[in-house]
Amino acid sequence: MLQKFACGTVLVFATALSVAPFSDASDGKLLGTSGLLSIEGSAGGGITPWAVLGSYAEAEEFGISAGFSNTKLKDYHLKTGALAFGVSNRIEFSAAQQRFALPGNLQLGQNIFGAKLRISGDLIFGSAPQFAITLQHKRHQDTALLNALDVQKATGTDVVLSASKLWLDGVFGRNTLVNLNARRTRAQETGLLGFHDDAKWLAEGAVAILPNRFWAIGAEFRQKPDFDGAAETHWRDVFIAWFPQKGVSTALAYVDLGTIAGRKSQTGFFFTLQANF
Amino acid sequence: MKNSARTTANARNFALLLALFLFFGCAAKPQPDALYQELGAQLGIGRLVDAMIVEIKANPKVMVFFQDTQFDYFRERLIEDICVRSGGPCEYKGLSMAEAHSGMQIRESEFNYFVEDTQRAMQAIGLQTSTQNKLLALLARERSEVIRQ
Repeated sequence: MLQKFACGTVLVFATALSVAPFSDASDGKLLGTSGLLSIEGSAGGGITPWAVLGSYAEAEEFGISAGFSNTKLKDYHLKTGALAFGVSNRIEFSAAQQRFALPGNLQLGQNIFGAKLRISGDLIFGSAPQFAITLQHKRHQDTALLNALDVQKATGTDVVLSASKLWLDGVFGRNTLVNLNARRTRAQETGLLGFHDDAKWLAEGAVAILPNRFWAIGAEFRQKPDFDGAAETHWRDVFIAWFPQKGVSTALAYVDLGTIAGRKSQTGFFFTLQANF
Repeated sequence: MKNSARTTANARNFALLLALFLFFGCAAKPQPDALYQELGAQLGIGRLVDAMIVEIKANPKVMVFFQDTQFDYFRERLIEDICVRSGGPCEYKGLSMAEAHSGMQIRESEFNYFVEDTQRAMQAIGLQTSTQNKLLALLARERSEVIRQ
């Protein structure tokens, strides 16, 4: 099942890459405003979702984004394959598969099914921010290993409220983006290490400056919970993203995920490549 | 002794310079026609609009809305519009944005295609990124009177 999904993701991605540059199926949004597919599949930055919707589908259009990301840390390795369907710049459906390699040749797999609704506002136009609500239903593929780790639950659903705004002529005369999230979650290490019985409200944020319309440089922060006093380290990254054209986008980030399951200083690099059509 | 006196004097001069700099820096408000000047006044705006018309004519997705347009007339009105909005000494003699786009039912995506034509035109004539962004911010404010009319 895991193998099949991974192969499927790669196949779709390869097809998308080969078709995207020649297709003008849906390109109604402005360059970069689709964001990138985050590690959980929802469009946004790298480690946080934003209020933006995947693909370049504007009103009355339909579009697809397909991407792959690789996060290599000191002791862990996370790979995500993700697909997002954007409808009319209003709704996004996403599916992501994560493979999380732990020390000791252990591997966990998590599927995430997401739905995002743009409630109001526009990222660029008008004075109000773009507001969105995202549901991320997370489900582990192999619960036996999770049970061995003494985890309470193998599934959980996050609710994320997001607000995004891009100011034209912002900081240093450059277009400037800010995103803020409030997330309700039971997930431990975003669900990679299972789910708790309790739920917490957490804050997330991102800022980016666009040197020109093809590039974005920014930083992200993601608050993490402390279930039963076992505080997780907050996640953070700095990133550079490149949008050479609407068909393809890519980003590289330096991530600092702190201590994960007792292993300290989990820093490393996040890379993502995605196609839109 | 001599050295320390000089250091004190230097520090005082520096403080004075800093105070002057802050005073004028904070007092200096941008001129109302700053963007008009950045765009290169009448001549620069003329070049920009010419470049925009080149992009529009090369873009079938935008050109569909310009089938009946007399480009000489459009050029003069767009120059006036950009001049007025950027703080220049002009008078806009055209229709209001809502009137000019009435019945066209321009979609969000089609407005964006025009924005992209404008971006390419600004790039083509070598406007600085910050000037481009200021002009885009002005254009963005007109969107609600342009789409879905």
